[in-house]
Amino acid sequence: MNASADQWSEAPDEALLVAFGNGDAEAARILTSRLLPRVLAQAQRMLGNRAEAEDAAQEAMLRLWRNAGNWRQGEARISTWLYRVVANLCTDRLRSRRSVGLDSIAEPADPAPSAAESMVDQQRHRALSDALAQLPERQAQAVALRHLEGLANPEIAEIMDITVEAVESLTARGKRSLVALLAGRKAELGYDDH
Amino acid sequence: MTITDKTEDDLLLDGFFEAARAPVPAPDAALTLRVLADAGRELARQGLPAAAAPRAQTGWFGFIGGWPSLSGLAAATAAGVWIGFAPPASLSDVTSAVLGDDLSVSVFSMENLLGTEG
Repeated sequence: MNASADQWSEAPDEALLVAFGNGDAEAARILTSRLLPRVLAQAQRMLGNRAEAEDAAQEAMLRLWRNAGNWRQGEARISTWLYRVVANLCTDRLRSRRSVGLDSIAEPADPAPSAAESMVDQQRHRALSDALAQLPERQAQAVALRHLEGLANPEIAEIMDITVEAVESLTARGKRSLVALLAGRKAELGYDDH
Repeated sequence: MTITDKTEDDLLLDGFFEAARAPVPAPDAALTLRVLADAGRELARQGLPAAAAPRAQTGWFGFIGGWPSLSGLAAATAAGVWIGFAPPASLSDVTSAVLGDDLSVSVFSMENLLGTEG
């Protein structure tokens, strides 16, 4: 690793983004290695499809590059901003699935599924993603941030720019809707034992 | 809430959430290059050619020609990955005949690409 990379390796993300906005390409490489895995994982968990998740992750990173020139240190955390951008990009993509309806649920949809996912898990993941697509977007985002990303309600409130009480309400309503959408498909998704 | 307090609905959703939380593989080289190529284009669009930044010309990045080369490299890498997975029969025949059946060429490893070596 060269000297400049060492110099930047300890820098906070926000400082790197400002450096990139000033034309420093090394900063982009370090930011990509730091942020892209998490961005891709969030998109994959929400969309249940690798190709769609990669496109959403690339778009989120592009928006980061485009905002670099306007970023002011101390104003916002990049991680919070990226959670919001990825959630918005994913709900945009989920919206396009609504016309397909729930009949397609549980079909193997990802041509390149994660090796770590069993067939049942793939089907459940895709079914959940399709059910999230049927929810109002703010409910889907709150549920995903809480139960797929594992974030605490205050952090979700900051990401979504709402109160903690609003997060709790959105999450509760979202989960009720998910149960209604998914309960009828328990048998085909391997829930015979419950 | 303890496990015994969970309702049947909670348990149902837990199964779906758990499935969606399965580990996600790391970004591959093709996606990483797409993202870096976007960054390079954005610098160029803003009139900030990264070639002007001394750091941009260090190590492998400078060696391959900086940002302008990344778009082509990304496309070439994607094509190379695809050919590696699904070589056309004619290509396979030619390479087998000329070079033997086992041929593997790696120009850039992910460690080189991400600067995590050494």
